[in-house]
Amino acid sequence: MIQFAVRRIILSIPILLIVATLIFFLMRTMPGGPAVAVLGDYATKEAIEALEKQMGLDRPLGVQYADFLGSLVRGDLGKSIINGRPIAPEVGRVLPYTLQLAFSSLLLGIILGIPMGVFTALRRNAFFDYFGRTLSLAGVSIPTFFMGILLMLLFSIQLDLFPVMGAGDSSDLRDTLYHLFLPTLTLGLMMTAYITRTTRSAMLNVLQEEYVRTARAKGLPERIVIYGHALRNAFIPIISFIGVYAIILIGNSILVEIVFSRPGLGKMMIGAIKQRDYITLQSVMVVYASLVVFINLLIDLSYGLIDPRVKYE
Amino acid sequence: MDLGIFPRVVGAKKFESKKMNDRPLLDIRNLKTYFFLPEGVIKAVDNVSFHVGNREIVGLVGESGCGKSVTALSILGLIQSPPGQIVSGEILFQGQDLCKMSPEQLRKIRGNRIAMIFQEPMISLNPLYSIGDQIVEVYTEHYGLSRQEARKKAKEMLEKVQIPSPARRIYEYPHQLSGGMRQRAMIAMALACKPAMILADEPTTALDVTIQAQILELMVELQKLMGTSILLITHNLGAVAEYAKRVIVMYLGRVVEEAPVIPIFESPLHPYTVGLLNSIPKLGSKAIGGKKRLEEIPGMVPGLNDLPEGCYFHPRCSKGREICKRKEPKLFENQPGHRVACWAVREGW
Ligand SMILES: Nc1ncnc2c1ncn2[C@@H]1O[C@H](COP(=O)(O)OP(=O)(O)OP(=O)(O)O)[C@@H](O)[C@H]1O
Ligand SMILES: [Mg+2]
Repeated sequence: MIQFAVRRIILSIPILLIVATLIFFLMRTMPGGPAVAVLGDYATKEAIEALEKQMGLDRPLGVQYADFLGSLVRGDLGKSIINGRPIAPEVGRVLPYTLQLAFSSLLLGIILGIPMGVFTALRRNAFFDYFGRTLSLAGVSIPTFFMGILLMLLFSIQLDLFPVMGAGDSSDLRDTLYHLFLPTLTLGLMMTAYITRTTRSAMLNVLQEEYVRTARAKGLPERIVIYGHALRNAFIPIISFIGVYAIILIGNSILVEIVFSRPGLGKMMIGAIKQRDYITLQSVMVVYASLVVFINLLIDLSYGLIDPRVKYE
Repeated sequence: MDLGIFPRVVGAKKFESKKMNDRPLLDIRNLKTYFFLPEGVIKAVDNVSFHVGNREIVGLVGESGCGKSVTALSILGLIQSPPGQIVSGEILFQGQDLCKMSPEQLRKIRGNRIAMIFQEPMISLNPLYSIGDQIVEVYTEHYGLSRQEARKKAKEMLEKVQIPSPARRIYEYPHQLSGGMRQRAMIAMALACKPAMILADEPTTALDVTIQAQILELMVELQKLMGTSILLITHNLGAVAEYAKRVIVMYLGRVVEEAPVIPIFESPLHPYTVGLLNSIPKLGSKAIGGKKRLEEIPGMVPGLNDLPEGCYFHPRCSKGREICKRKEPKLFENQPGHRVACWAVREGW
């Protein structure tokens, strides 16, 4: 297990490297180059050249690339073009908000989605199944920003139960949770919808398996057959889909952060785009990519925990 | 090895204290198990009656799809419902009708008094549970043993099915065992509670030929040791000839012939049985019926949802006459213990 984990962690290093490289070269393909992007289309040639010199863009691409990677390894995300402040501390400040949102939403999705998926699978084609399926179809189809606004209208404006914006006082747990509730609900319901659908179909597949019949033939009670033998096997596809959904979740967290004016990577990224701060944008993208790689790492490690066959592959 | 020390469930004790010798252990009467599909009703088991005595090995043979597995699953109440359902009939086990039992009563018999061995151990064992845990479950469930005690029993059971170094194997997972070892583990699981009856549904079909014989030998050895009865479902007529005491031949959901093993191999009566026996090679002698060549039964097996009237076999039968097309032949006793459902035999043409 530990060996598997170590190997998997080492394996994610080249992935990160490739992603960082892609982001680096993507940023260089912007029309006119980064300096034009910063200064706008009507900047004078001299101004552009001056900025390029200042940002080190006049150096050969290889040198720039090596410099970029070297800084990343040292944990240096560069300096903002707009205010010259180092980016890493700023990322460190807002990242917890994004992580809080992402993990609480994922948790909510798992806590609600898996039981609902199991339940709809067991009551296949009964009323609850249709009800649950309709609900989860809605959850998958409604855009998050729209969902966020709906929830905000209901809970904040109509019922006046939760705040409309911000993340609250980070040193106060109650205030943090109070502000986290609606954004988490928004993303969490979407996750619930996805996970319910996946769990339902995984369970329906697994319940057809021979070993489930064997478990019944052994005289085990349905409770153990379903939640032991069947669900445990269903977790394998469920987990791999959760890996995919987590990526969707991260993408949507940007929208939710904007809708609820929460500090976070999303807000930082949108800010950087607005201000044409390409260094910040580049760095935030690298952080997002690392987050996705990290989630995939967790997913792979959890396979190792539930599936004995994984370690030997 | 003393297996009598196991605590038993109360229900089981009641069965055992009754006199069992004067009636068969398992007595199936007029069992009908149908599948209600949108395309129509599939009469997978249609009016089947047979019995299995104490300590008896009974072979159940017939072409693929004739309802052998459905029969076995009906006994355990494991027919998938919907679409399947036991429509009518009785399944008397130690005198009690399994069809009338509550799901909970039946569950206490499954894996405990009646166990099942499935065809493919690879897919019939749970890939995420160690072999040991899969046996342990049976003991904790039926005997209420602690995990530790159950583990000890499981180890003894693995020893009994001749799995080498059971103390280590108990922690291994199905994918770490060979096909033969897996089936041994499956047998250990089935025999864990020393059941009175084992339903072995093609227990060796998925295995190498050399392993097949070993597994069958093992099953029969343990059957003798424990006094278990076996319903041996198989395509392997050689195994039936060697181990079974009686044979039941099914065709399209019906029993067409039933007889002790020697008469059925030496003088099969039903044209279908004759065909079935001619389709297997026989060592050192001529094929049954005096022909040397292997034969297959001519004609197509009709689908279960568009069965002909009368005898289901008549479209493929060389002896068929007018009545076969109209009227279903009932089983009748031709010789003591030898029953057959065929107009030709009955009328002597
Ligand atoms: N779950 C089910 N739904 C619908 N039909 C079924 C189901 N299970 C079995 N059947 C039908 O019942 C009939 C008998 O099947 P069964 O599995 O008992 O055959 P079998 O004699 O065991 O064949 P084999 O030798 O191939 O194992 C088949 O025609 C099959 O299509
Ligand atoms: Mg079968």
